Amino acid sequence: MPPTTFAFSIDLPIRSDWANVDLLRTSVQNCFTAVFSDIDGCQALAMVTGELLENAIKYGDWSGQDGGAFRLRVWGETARPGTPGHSAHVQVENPIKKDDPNVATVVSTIDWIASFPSAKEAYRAKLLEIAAERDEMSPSRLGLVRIAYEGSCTLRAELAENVLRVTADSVF
Amino acid sequence: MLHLDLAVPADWERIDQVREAVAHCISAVYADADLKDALSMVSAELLENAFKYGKTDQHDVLISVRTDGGRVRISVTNTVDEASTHAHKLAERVAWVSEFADPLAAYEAAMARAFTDESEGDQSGLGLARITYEGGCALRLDTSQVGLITVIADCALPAA
Repeated sequence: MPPTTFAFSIDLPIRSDWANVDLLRTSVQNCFTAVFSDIDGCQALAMVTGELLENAIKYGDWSGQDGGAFRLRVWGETARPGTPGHSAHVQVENPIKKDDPNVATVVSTIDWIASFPSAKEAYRAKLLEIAAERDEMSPSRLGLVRIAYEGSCTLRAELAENVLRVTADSVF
Repeated sequence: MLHLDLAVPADWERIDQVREAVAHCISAVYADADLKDALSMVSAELLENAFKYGKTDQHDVLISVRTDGGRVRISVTNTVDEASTHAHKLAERVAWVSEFADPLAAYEAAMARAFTDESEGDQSGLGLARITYEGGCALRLDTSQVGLITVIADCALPAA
């Protein structure tokens, strides 16, 4: 039998607005718990899944004829001798509009988080920034910082063919 | 498109987690409560069988849920002792359940068998008959790899 691993992949048409976020977040949490039985780590990764899916729904381009689809991929492996712990990866892809300024903001926010010595410091700086923010309608990007800090994840973003792919990598 | 592969430690408490995971992702993809109930039940039944009859020291049981055209395929793979007669008995049960033209008839026959013949114990085929009747699945077995058994349940998706 292969080593304990899991892979979870869903290509989902954007349907029934936000309801899918909760269903998929819970499903991913159940998968993690079944494989890892690490409740804290599983809850953190479920939060990461929810945040990435919310971003995809909020900022994705759903104006296509069929409404478009997002893709959720989650995969990982349990700790083995020689590895620092369990590894898990959550990846969400969504269609984007050409030159959508939100995409540049996602990429720059991820770079901004990486510029801090720790995710905790980035989180604190973001909270201070939000507290000083006068424009309440502007997107806070707190979700991405939360993923980095509360979810203990490293974030990366890739752009290809009008698709934005954001991946959160974690060792726990 | 749904593709879920999990290597689940052979621990009974994990079955509920997997059942819930399957239920939630089937709901997200198909928004069909009957299908959700059916396929989560099928996942749980197949895992129970794998835990019950697998090798006593088996570490993981593999479950895979995949959409394939107009159907969902759930397969569960577990290790078995080569000396065990389980693979042979399971093949007989799957063949027996599949012989019935009507899944309800198989289910009723399996129930009768479970009640009337104590020697059948929990190998009456009731779980398998439940998969075909309540789960609406066709069953088959793959024993092509030595020491491994895979039970495959194919469920046709309802027309959109």
